Amino acid sequence: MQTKGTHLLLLSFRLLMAEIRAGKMTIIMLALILAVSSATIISVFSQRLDSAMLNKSSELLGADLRLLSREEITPDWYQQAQTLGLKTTTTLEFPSVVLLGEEMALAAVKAVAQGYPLKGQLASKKNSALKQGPALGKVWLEPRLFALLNAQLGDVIEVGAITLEVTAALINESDRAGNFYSLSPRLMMNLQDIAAAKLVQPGSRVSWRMLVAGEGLALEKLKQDLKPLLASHQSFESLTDNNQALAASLSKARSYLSLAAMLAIILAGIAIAMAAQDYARQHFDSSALLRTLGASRRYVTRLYLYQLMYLALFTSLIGLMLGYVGQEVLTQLLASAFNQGSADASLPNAGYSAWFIASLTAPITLMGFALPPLLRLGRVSPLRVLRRELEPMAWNSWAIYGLGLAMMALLNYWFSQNFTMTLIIIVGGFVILLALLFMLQFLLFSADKLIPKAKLSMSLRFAWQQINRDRYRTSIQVLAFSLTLMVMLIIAIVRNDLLQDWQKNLPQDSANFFAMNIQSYQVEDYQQDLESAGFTISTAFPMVPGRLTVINEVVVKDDLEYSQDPALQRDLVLSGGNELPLGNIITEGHWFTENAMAEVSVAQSLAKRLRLNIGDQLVFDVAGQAVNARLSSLRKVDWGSMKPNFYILFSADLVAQLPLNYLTSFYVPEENNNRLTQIIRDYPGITLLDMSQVLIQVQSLLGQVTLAVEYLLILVLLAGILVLIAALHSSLDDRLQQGAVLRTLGAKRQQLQLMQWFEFLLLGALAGIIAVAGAEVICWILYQKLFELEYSWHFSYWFWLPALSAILISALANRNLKQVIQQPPLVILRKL
Amino acid sequence: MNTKIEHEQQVPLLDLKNVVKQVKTGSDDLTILQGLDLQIKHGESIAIVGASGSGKSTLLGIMAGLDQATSGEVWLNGQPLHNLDEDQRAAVRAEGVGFVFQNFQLLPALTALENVRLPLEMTQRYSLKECQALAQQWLDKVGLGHRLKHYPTQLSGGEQQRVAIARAFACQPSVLFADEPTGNLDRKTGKQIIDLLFELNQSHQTSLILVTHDEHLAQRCQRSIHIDEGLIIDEGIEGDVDVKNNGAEDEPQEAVHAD
Repeated sequence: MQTKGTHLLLLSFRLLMAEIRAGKMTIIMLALILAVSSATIISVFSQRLDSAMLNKSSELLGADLRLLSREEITPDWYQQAQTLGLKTTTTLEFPSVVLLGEEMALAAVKAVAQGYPLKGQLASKKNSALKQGPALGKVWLEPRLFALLNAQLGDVIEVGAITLEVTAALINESDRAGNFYSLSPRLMMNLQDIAAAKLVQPGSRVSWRMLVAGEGLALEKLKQDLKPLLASHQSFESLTDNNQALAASLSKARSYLSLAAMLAIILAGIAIAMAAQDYARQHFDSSALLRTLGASRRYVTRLYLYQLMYLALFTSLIGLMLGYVGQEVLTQLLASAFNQGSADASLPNAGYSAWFIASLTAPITLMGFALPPLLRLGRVSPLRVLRRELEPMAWNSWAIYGLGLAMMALLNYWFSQNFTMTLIIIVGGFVILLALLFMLQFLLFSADKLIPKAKLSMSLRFAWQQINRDRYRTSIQVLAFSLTLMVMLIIAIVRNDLLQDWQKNLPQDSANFFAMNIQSYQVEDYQQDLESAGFTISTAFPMVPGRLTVINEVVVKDDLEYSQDPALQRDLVLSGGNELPLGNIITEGHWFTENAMAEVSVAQSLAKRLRLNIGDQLVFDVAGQAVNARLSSLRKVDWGSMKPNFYILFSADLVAQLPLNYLTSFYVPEENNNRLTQIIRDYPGITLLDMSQVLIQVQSLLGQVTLAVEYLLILVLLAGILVLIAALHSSLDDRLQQGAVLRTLGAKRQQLQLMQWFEFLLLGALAGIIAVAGAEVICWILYQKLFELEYSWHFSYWFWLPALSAILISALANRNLKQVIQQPPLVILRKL
Repeated sequence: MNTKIEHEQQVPLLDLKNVVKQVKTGSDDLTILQGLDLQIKHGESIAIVGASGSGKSTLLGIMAGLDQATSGEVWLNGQPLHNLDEDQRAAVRAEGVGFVFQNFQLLPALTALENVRLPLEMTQRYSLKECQALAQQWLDKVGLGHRLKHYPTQLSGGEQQRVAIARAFACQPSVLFADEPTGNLDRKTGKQIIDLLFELNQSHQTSLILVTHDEHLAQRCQRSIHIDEGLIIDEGIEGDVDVKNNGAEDEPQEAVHAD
């Protein structure tokens, strides 16, 4: 004999199965599956993307942790790292003149020990993934150095006291990031050749680096252990801003992903709420019958609760599986772009937490949206079997909406970890819709007074009465339609602007070379030569390396917080002048006037980190010279663009005092690459930075992210259609009955059809207007607070969206309409 | 057995004492039943007839424990329904009350077999296999052995009512309440249903209480009571029914009202 609990569990399982088989649960199930899969896709995918970004940072450092020292690092520290289970290696960098026959050039020498690189890749023209640095007696050169020395593979060059054979053209060195203004072309050699070359004397300006890789806790321990032992010339290095173009674009993409997931879940939630309401209404009779058969309230309530539980379980399983597939597809897309040139083309796996969050989606959505209507089922009076008009008391509608909103907010915050976004979407969306609905009520009310109803055709008049008779019901329907359309519109608008933003920042002819150390007398000639070689050039900026040393009389070095900031641990590229660089926006204070004296403008992001305010006094160390300046403006800098961007800009009077040279960027089409060689030889002193690899990577990554964005758009649109169908379906019974009654009264099919068409066209148009209004407001807020994009209003949408929505909704309703028209009235009346 | 028979002889199946039912309509109290007294014996068949709005259905609801009287006492099978709460009354219904309705009230998502099986499952007296077998037997008895897997929408009105009857008898109730069981059926089908109802009623010794407009149906009961404005105005015995109450005219109204 079964216990009572298992008996009920089994019975409710069998009943649910019967309901599923009879097609009563289709919409709820689809909505839940959609919610769970999109939740899975986003939470798992973004976690994997995050870890990939973290790995990427490590690649750019060549290690997980990097210690810079001006002197050779004691072997004790290596030992300490190794006992913690960490891998280590060493690099040594210094500038040196190298010779090949008559030719000579200044090279940035990098000598690497065995094991280098710990993270990231090296690539030569012939080999896209070199596992280690040059062997003893060999040397690798960057293509630019080949040009300067007029060298060929196999040549032997002089490096200090020894000669080394050139064996590869080094085109990619993922940890090349650094003080790029001082970059000479790279020469890479084996560390063991250094002693014989006699290049490093005590007191030479060299950079030793200890590279460490391994597990996070051990790394942290090592960092803590070594910190107190560091000499003044030693420091841990963190990632510089060279990666920011990528990071900025990806962070917008991530925001978009979260937004899409959030909206998909909200839509699914609405579909579930409507389907559950529908389901509950359809089951009032069943519930009453169960009560006449002797079931208690508790029994009926539990019967339906268990069904919800099973439903959550099934749909979670299916949703998780579909989500797994979905995120694999997205990951595959991105992996190839992310790990270009690497053998392992996959992203790191997501942790359990991502799966855990995803698997809670179904229970939480059900609790928020399906529970209130289904609990009503337990309260149906058994007398309903005799008197159909008896309906159970509904919950207070504020309580229902409150519960739904609370659950959504919880889920959304959980996912996006983004409080601002959650707030904007949930609270903002709710308030805006509420306001619009009140407006709608008012509109209906005043339109009803104004419309000369006697002059309308019968069908149109009836359609209007239908809408206006029960304004509450109309509002609920319009709410469902407009909410859905609004969400679809938001996601489409954001997608368009995001893609445009990326394209704008990275046009086909984005600069792929940066030229630095251009002397002021060279600037014009150099630009001219570039142009005649057929390269697209841009403005030349003055530049000088310098360091921020004092903030309001606080010495940066001595301040605990300041000294930790990566931007203050190294030389920055300083610039200035009277013109605000393109794409920069002043957010506070004002840009330098013609006769500004000793003023400075700082990038907003840095100013925020250092808590700088307008009027603060800053001191910079520029080539041993102390420069005092007053902070007069903060700028928003578009780090996503591949243009020269500066943290610090000086006013023109300061610029004039400084030992300046210039920086410019230009675009070299792939096919004209050979023309660059001559220019390099003509201007040996100018440092060139080849960004084409980075650019290609960023472009391909953005291409893939764009594709991911498109898939998510489709997901959201699907959810939207589901909601519309659910909403239309929920009013079907009423319409069937009304249609049947009208037809018994002698209405012709055509009249009926016209009437319904008018009604849906009207409802659709109203919903369209509300949707545009809501979407514009929410997008505007989102752009200000989240995407940092400029918002332009979409006036044309106000015309075509209501029209489109009217057509879409009437078309979807047409399916139901056929039933209303074609079924014999008696059949319908009997069923009801 | 002896004690059961004794019990049945001493205690009536249903005992209504001064039952009053009032409902609030706006500010007024509308009295639907005005102090009814009625006793029904075990195994008895009884028809309740009356015009629309006379209170027939309300009375049925109160007798079956689906609704509470405003005052008065209702004893069903020796249980004081007037003192029980909703869930306790549900337990009484589960014990021994069956229903047949005008609009059949089959669960649309369940097949014929599942509809009949459901109340059996709810009693927890049988295993699922036994429930299945019993339900099948009952469907055989009502002549639907070949329609087990059909959904209500795939069955004709008469067939749906047969399923409902099979469901009502499956738990072997001591009393069966029927509310216009032929109201939605044509005359011929209606007659077949009634034949089936009485046949099962007799072979299983079930009491039968039915609300109807149909004078022929009323005549087949051992007793019929006529209700008007909430009062029993005529208690007839078998075949002696008051036919003054315009039954034929009322019928369509009642049908619309029930919808």
